[in-house]
Amino acid sequence: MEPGGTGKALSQLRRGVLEFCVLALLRDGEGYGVELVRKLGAIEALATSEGTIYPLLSRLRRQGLVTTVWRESPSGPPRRYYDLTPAGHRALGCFSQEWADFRTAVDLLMGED
Amino acid sequence: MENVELFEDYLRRLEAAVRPLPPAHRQELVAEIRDHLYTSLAEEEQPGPAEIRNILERVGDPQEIAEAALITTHTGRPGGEMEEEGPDSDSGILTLSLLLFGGFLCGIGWLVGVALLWSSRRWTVTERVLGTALVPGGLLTPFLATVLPVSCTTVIDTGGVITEENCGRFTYIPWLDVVAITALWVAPILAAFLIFWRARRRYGNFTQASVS
Repeated sequence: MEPGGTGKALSQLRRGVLEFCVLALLRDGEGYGVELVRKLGAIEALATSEGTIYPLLSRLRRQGLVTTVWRESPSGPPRRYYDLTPAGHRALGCFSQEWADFRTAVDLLMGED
Repeated sequence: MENVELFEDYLRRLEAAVRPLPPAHRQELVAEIRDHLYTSLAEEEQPGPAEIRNILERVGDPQEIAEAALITTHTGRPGGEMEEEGPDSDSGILTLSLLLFGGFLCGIGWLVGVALLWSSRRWTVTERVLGTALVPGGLLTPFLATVLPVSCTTVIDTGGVITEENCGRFTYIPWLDVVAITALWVAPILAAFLIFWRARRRYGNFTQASVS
């Protein structure tokens, strides 16, 4: 398979997984939006810029997987916080399980050479 | 002040890049990014030109953001904006086939086709109206019109001789009748093609974005 094929496959993989990475960061409680995108943008392996995460957050909001709330901030303008809904928790849980199986299977195959 | 200029310039480029998006999403995204830029700057201990450039670099290229937004908009799960597969998917082809030929299945097939047409999110309202109105019954209608017995008016003179006979399916004007029948055959086929190509073009743009 030529390098181009690998690139496409990887970027589709990343795209599929990214939303669950977002949900995972909110697993333990609400998160400040700007910090959320900064954390994800900083992970090189995810290869995503901060701006590209905002459309994803919007979609998760539309799907009812996250909610947002504005809070006053001492150090500046009001901040937007994201939190998981029960549906979001369920989606994350489902994915977690699937991902574990998937990762194990692929690791096994990759390790064969 | 240089700060504002760089941000506003970036946001202008972003607005241009996200034009293909639905208006509500477009506005929401630009507002969120604007918020992000100014909030990030306000939280810097030493806001200055260097920080501004860092912030902009981390936010990323407007074109990439627009592409991500387009893909996200179009591949939302059930409840999302658009059906994932276009007209050349199995159910797309089935819908169009039923519209054309379903009438021959006791007429019910066409009704099923219409139901599919209106219930699936892959078709726009224009395409739905086209498929329903041109022609009700699909190809069954011109078929019936062709095979049904022609009705004729005859003029008989006093001697019992037929001096004139005009036959037709819709009118007794021969050429008009031919035009009507031809139109009835052509319309459903034309409509099906129109619908298919319109939808294909719409999905063509989408699939280009999704494989990048």
